[in-house]
Formats: sequence, structure tokens, C-alpha cells
Amino acid sequence: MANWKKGRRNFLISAVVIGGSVTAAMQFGLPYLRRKAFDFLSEGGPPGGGTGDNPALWISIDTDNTLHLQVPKVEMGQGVHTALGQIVAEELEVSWERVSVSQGSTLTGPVDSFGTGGSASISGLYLPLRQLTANYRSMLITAVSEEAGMPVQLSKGVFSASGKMIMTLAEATRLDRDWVIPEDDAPLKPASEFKLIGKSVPRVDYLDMLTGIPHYAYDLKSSKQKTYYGAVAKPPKIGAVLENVRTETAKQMQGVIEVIEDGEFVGIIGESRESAWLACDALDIKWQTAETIDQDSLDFALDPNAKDSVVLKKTGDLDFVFSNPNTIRAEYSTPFAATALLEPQSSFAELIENDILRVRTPTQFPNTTASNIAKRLGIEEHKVEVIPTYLGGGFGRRSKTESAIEAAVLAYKTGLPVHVGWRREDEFLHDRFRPPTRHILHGLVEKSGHISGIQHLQASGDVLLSDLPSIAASILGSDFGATRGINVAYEIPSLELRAKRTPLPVPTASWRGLGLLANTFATESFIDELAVSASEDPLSFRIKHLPQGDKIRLRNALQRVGKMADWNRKRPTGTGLGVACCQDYGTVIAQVAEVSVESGDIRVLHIWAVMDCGLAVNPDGAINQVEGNIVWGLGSALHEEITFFDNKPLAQNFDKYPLLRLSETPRIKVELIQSELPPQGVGEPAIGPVPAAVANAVYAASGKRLRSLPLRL
Amino acid sequence: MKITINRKEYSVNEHELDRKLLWFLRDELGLVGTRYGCGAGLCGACTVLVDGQPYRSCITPIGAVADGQLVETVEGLGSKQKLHPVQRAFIEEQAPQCGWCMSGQMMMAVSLLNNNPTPTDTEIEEFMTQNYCRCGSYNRLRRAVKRASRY
Repeated sequence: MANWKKGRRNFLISAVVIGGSVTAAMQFGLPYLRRKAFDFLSEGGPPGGGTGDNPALWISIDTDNTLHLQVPKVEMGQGVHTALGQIVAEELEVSWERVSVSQGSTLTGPVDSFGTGGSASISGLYLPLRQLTANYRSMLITAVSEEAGMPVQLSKGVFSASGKMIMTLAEATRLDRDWVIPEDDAPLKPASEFKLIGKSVPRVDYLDMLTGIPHYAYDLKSSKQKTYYGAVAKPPKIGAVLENVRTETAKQMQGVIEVIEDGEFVGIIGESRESAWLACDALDIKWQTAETIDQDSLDFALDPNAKDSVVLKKTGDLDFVFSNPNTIRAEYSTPFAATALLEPQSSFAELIENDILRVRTPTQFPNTTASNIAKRLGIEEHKVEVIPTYLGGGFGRRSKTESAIEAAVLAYKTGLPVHVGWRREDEFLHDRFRPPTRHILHGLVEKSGHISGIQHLQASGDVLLSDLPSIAASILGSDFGATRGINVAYEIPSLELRAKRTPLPVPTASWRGLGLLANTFATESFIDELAVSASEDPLSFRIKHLPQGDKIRLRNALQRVGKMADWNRKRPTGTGLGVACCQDYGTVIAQVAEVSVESGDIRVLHIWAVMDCGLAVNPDGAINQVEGNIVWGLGSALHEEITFFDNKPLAQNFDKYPLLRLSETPRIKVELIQSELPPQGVGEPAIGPVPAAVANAVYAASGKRLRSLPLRL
Repeated sequence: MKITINRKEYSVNEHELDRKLLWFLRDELGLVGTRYGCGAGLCGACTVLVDGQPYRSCITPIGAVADGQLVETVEGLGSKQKLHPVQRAFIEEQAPQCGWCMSGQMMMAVSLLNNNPTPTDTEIEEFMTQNYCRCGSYNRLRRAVKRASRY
């Protein structure tokens, strides 16, 4: 295809906002700007990326009329490939059996200015990708109509005119002509004619996955020659730096091909994975540890009362709250947590034609990974191709793939195809952890039964600022990842939200939902405490504070989940119900947990959930995400906690970091409210309310208020 | 020495007998459907069947299964064209999310159903709980195993 006109759209929203912020700061002052930035970031959400104008980068039709879609968004189990396939197949009139979806490369695939994260892929691409496809459909219809000399229609992959088949979709895309993108956008297919969007079609990517066909980064090998295995020395303690290394022993070990030294980088290339690992462990390295890290010093670092915390939101005056003897004060905390993806990270690098280094790696941010590799090797970016693999779990951890750099260095320096796979112990020791948080809340309920004021002081380790240039931190003051979910949906006349950003000496970064889980745990536990203090029913207390109008969606979700759980039915002694809810960007979710407390054990029996995520492109896929988030939330509520001693996490494997098991998983029932809104985020919102719903249910069952995670009686 | 995997015989060198079965399957034979999760027999992603019983291949030396035992991996269950009933059930319940644990889960399910073709919900729960699923597809795994038991 030729003659694509230049792009008309610009999706660089984030750049515009940060650029604009600097000017606004000079005019209105930093505190004002920070509150505005918080409003924007907590309501707008992360950018979902754009499509560009060239359909050929996304869509190709095989000769057998199969739609092949190449996407920049990375599949990590959230079903994004399936949903994007549905969107394109819908607009292009292709039946579902004829759809295949694959991951684009950074050199030849569609460009993605962002990456895959923040539950933003479908909400961000839904309209742009439909429009791109509709424009393409319009171009094809024009072309075939001209060819046939009469108007044609497209249905099920075939163009026809007055009942007569003219040509297939595959043939139309191969017409030899100049293809010109229409000046004006073609009309989108009306929702009333949808056959795929909004339907629970089966996932597009199960067959390889379930029959043992290579599918993940750890499965990769060279298709042309012998594959070698790499292992790179990593500090045995967090913060340690390589002082010197003796490689003699390692070099002489069986199966060792080469030892690569490059400054602080020491890596082994071995015949087999095990020989590389063994030799790597045999390297005689002297490490220098800078600063002692243990749990006490980390715990002490977080101070929600810090004078220099940043005001995120302030409405009304709160003095009357602090001076009132009936004011409730409570403190909550959440610990470090590991990402613990089940597939340890790995990458495969090889030099291909034109001196291009091809790296196949499980990354959520392919473009960043490619430029980091180029920077590390001192080569130009167009000499590095990153092809993201299918991810054995993402959840934010794959925002950085260290093994991509490791494999790239080893392959580039030796010219050999190298696969580097991390061990489980590497995953724990070199994780980027969910940061700990502390929260202090004050609140007052008036005699009328209405909350008159709440103050939430939060302190958290970094989530996103750890990966951003320091200018972002000085402008924003707080970490907008750590404050995700701190906004309060309820109508409260006086509200103050403050956050104290706390960089910690251990790496902390994105973990599913970012701050959503911790902040919702604090807020929604506290709302429960306020309800109890006013002798109000926790469910109707919440509903009462969500007026009709713009809060109607959350109100509806709460009402419906109350019905599902049969909220008013009395449970036996030792069993209780707890409710919690949250709004995460455009998605609202309410949950009820039923918990029994027996001889010191918390057992979660049921979770009911109602989510309104706008139009669910694939409702069953969305429900699967809610179920998974509930299991994640329960893992955090009941087990997950990382503690540090002597610059190391105590857990190095699952024996000391148990994940939630099937036998601990309650009966889960999920319902979606299909609203008129376009698709909103689905991959994370449901994690928010889980720990608070469980803690509130523990209170209902036992009278014990648990304020720190994991919940222990 | 010989080792039988999915009804096919492979030769193993004497010096390889201590090697863990997992890496022999994946890196030597290219049978990458058996996944690595923890290397310590804790998560179950590497589960294979040895004479019908579930083994954690990440801690099983080749030598322990090179004495006439029959090793089965996910590649031996069924192909894309002809799926095993357990594979079918997992697809029909749309159970996987990221899917990394699923080979191990399916091998567990096959083992359970071979020994007990009509397990109760409790029996499914007690058996399948040995394997982790980080994505949290447990609700669907329960249903998928139940469904497979009806085929």
C-alpha cells in the first residue's frame, strides 16, 4: 500500500499537561498547581496511547481471509489482544473465528507512545482503533465500488453488490491502487449493530498456551543456530555495588563458553542454563554495601504527620473536626509486597541482519526498553528491535525488564544468541516492591448521621516517581501512583487529603493498582468505623453519602451488591459481612465479603462484586479480571508481606511468601452494570475494595477492628 | 540410559542423571510446555506425570525417572487439532489469564481424574490447591476440573 496521508491526531496528552503545568506554577503557585495536578491525574487516568493513521501497520488480511491484527499493547493475561481483536473485527465485518492477534515489534509495528499499564489500553484505544478501522473499511469499500462500477457492501469478509459476490476482503486489500486516507473520518458502526463488541467471545490466544507451543519469553530459542544461556551477577544484598571480581574459577568450569566483564557488569555465557547459573554463583566477587537496610529503619521512614506533606485536596475548614471530642481518629498501614509473577523474567537477544540487535522480552513498555538497551550499548535506537513476548504475569513489574539489558549486552558483545532467565530467588531479591504506606485519618459524624469532615494524611514509598526524572517529583511533590485511590467519592463538606512522598532505600514501583489497594483499605475501613460510631448500617451509611447525580453509578453498584449478598439477612455468630467500594478513574466497583472468624482464623467464605466499567468489550473477560483482582486483594488481606533484614527480603521463595491458594479462595460472584459510557479500565479497579471489605467483615464477625495488612487477629 | 516421555524414548547421558527433569525437557528437548516457577517444588508450574502421579519436575532428577517410568507432559495431552478433554474444559471455562501455571494445573487435573473420574467439589479443591495461580483464576479452575470430569 502507498500514499498514506500524514497523521492528523496527537495523543501526547501527558506532555501537554506537564508542559502547561510549569507555566501555571509561575502564575498560581505550586500548592495550587499540585491540587490541580492531583485532580487531573486522579480523574483523567493514564494515557491509553493512540493508533496513528496508517491501518496497514495494524491490520493485514491473509490470503485465506484471516484478519491478522498486530498490536502494540502487551498481553499479560488481561485479555487485551482479544478485546482489541473484537474492536477491529467488528468494524471490519470479520467473524471471530477468522481473527488472529500478535504483538508488534518496536521497529515495524504500530507505535505506542505509552505502554501497557494503568488499565488504560481498551479505554484509550476503543475509539481511535474503531475509527482507524472504520476509515480503512471506507477506503476498501470505495476501492471495490470503483472496481465493480457500483456500490458494494461488506459483510463477513466479503464484498457484494445486489446479492452478488464481488471479491473477498483479502483480494480488496491487494488491489493495486493508490490508497488515500479520507479527509473526514468515516462513520463508526452503530452500537445497535454490534456482533462482537460487548459479547463474551472466547480468548484468541489459548491454543498455543495450552498445548505447549513456545509462547513466553522463557520458551524462546534461536530458530537458526544453537542457543546459549546467560547469567549475570547480581548483588547479594540491596544497594551493594561490585568492588572487584575474580573470574578464574568460573572460567574453568564445565560448560562455560565465555565470561564477559564490562565495568560493574559480569556475565557468564554457558552451554546450558544450569552451567551458566553455577558459574555465575562461583564468581568470586567482593561487594560493597553502602547503607544498612532493615525493617525498623524502613518502618520509621514513613511519617504521615510530616509538616512538608503535599495538600492534594482541601475543601472547607477542618478545625471543628479536631476540636470536637466525638472525632474519630484511626491509623492504618500496609506493608511491602512482592510482585511474585509466576513466570520469572527472561529475555532472548540475537543479532540479526543489518546489525540489528533483536531482543524478545516480557516488557510492558517496549519502547522504553528499546531505548534503554540502545543507551546501555551506546548504539542507535534503530539498531535495537524489541519484540514483547506474551507475559507470564505483568501487574506492573514488567514496567522494567532488567534481563533485556543483560541478554542484550551478552549477545551484543559475543555475537551469540543468548537467553537469560532469572531464578525465583532473583525475582524476590531484585523485585521492585509495592511500597509500604501509613495513614492517619480523622473524621466526624454529626448527630444527623452525616459525615461533616474527614482528613486523610498518607505517607507512602514511591510508586511512579522512582522511574521519572526528578523534575516530576519537584513539580508534583507527591507520587501520583502512590495517591491513586485516595480521592473520596462520598459527599463530605470538609475534606483534606495530604500525601507525604517518601523515597526508600529499597526499590519500590508499580504493583497492581498502585496506591489503590492501600488507600482504599484506609478510607473504606475508616468509613466503616464512622458508620459504627454513629450506630449506622455500613451499607446504607455509604449510600446516604453518595447523592444522586454524578455519584449515581457507585450508589447503584452498592445497592446491587447489597442485594446479591442478601445484606440484611442475619448471619450466624462468628460470621459477618463487610462492604467496601471505590472509584478508579471511570470505573466503579462495590464488594461485600462474608467472613467467619473461628479460633483465631479468618476465613473468607464469599465475595460478591458489582462493577460498572462502562461498556465491557468482553464481559466474561472483564469478570475474569475482577475475579483475579479479588484473589490478589485477598492475598494482600491475608498473607502478602515482605520484611527486610540485613539488606535482603526475608522471603526468597514461596515458602516464606505464600500466595493465596485455591482452598482459601471464597465463592466469588461478579455482576457487571452495563452503562452507556464507553469502555473504562478493568485490569485493576477491583483490587481496591477487597482488604477493606474483609477487615470490615472481620469486625462484624468478631468486634475486632484490624487496621494493618495483612490482617491478623 | 533411556527416558520415556510422551511415549517416546530419549537417550540420557550418564553424567546428566542428576540434572533436573524440568531443564532437560525445556532446554534439551524443547518441550517448553512444562513451566518453571520456583525451582523448589513449591508452586506446581512444572508438574508432569510420572506413571500417572504428579511430580514436580524442577526438583526431580532425570535419574529418578529413567528406570522405565512413563513421563507425560502437556505436549502429550493433546494437540491443537485434537485437544484432551481437560484442555477443552479449561478453554470452555475460559480459565487461564496469563496461563503460565496452566500446564501444571492441567497435569494435576489429569492425574486427579485418572485416579478419581468423578471427584466431589471438596476433592477437587483439596487436590488442586497444591498449585499456585498468581492471576487468581481459582474459581474457574474449580469449574474447569468439574466440567472435565463430566466428559
